[in-house]
Amino acid sequence: MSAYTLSVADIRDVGMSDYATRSVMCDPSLDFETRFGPKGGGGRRYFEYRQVLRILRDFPKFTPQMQTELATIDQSRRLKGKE
Amino acid sequence: MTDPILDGYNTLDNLTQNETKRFEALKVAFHIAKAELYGSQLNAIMDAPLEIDLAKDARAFNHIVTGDQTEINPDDREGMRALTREIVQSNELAVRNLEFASASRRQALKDEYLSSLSPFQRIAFFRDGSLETRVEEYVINRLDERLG
Repeated sequence: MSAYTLSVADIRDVGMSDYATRSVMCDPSLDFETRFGPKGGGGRRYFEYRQVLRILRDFPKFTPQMQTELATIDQSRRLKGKE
Repeated sequence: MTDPILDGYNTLDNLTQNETKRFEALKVAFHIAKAELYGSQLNAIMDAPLEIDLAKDARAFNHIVTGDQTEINPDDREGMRALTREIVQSNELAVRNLEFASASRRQALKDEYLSSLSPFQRIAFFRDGSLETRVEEYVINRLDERLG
């Protein structure tokens, strides 16, 4: 599994606002990987945890708990294929 | 909002105090593993870029931020050696550095062997065509001896 593990939906799910989510989506300095669904639809962008974290830490509502939740999601997705 | 500065440096600038401590501990373990694996073959100039590569590694970064030791444990020598080997092999400059060090070492060993032979021996080996194989054998034996 690659290091690109987090989508904007994950950031929204941990409790960040739409504004924060959008600012991650629109940040030009971020690298991302686009993955499509089984029938070629969708096309969701996946980001690296270390890059997303740097942006989210600028938001006052971003808590250490959210940080841990995102880290857990990131780790579980990376370990998914290895077990 | 966020300045698009050099990636990697930017990641490191944003660490908290505890994360910096964990990163320092990880760096120490990384340098020990690097010394165990490559000795003095890797030039000191490669240290800083390799440290940035270490922080950019998803497993290492997860350990730095959360302190979780499932994937990376600085006290686990085998795990650190595997991680270090992976990071060094994925850095093109480090690989070139190692290749160059290995080539210059081979040349030094070759010279050492040839100078240890007497001129008569050298001519005799050259005439029976065994000089090249003898040199190769000597170099390989010495390199193995160093690794073992």
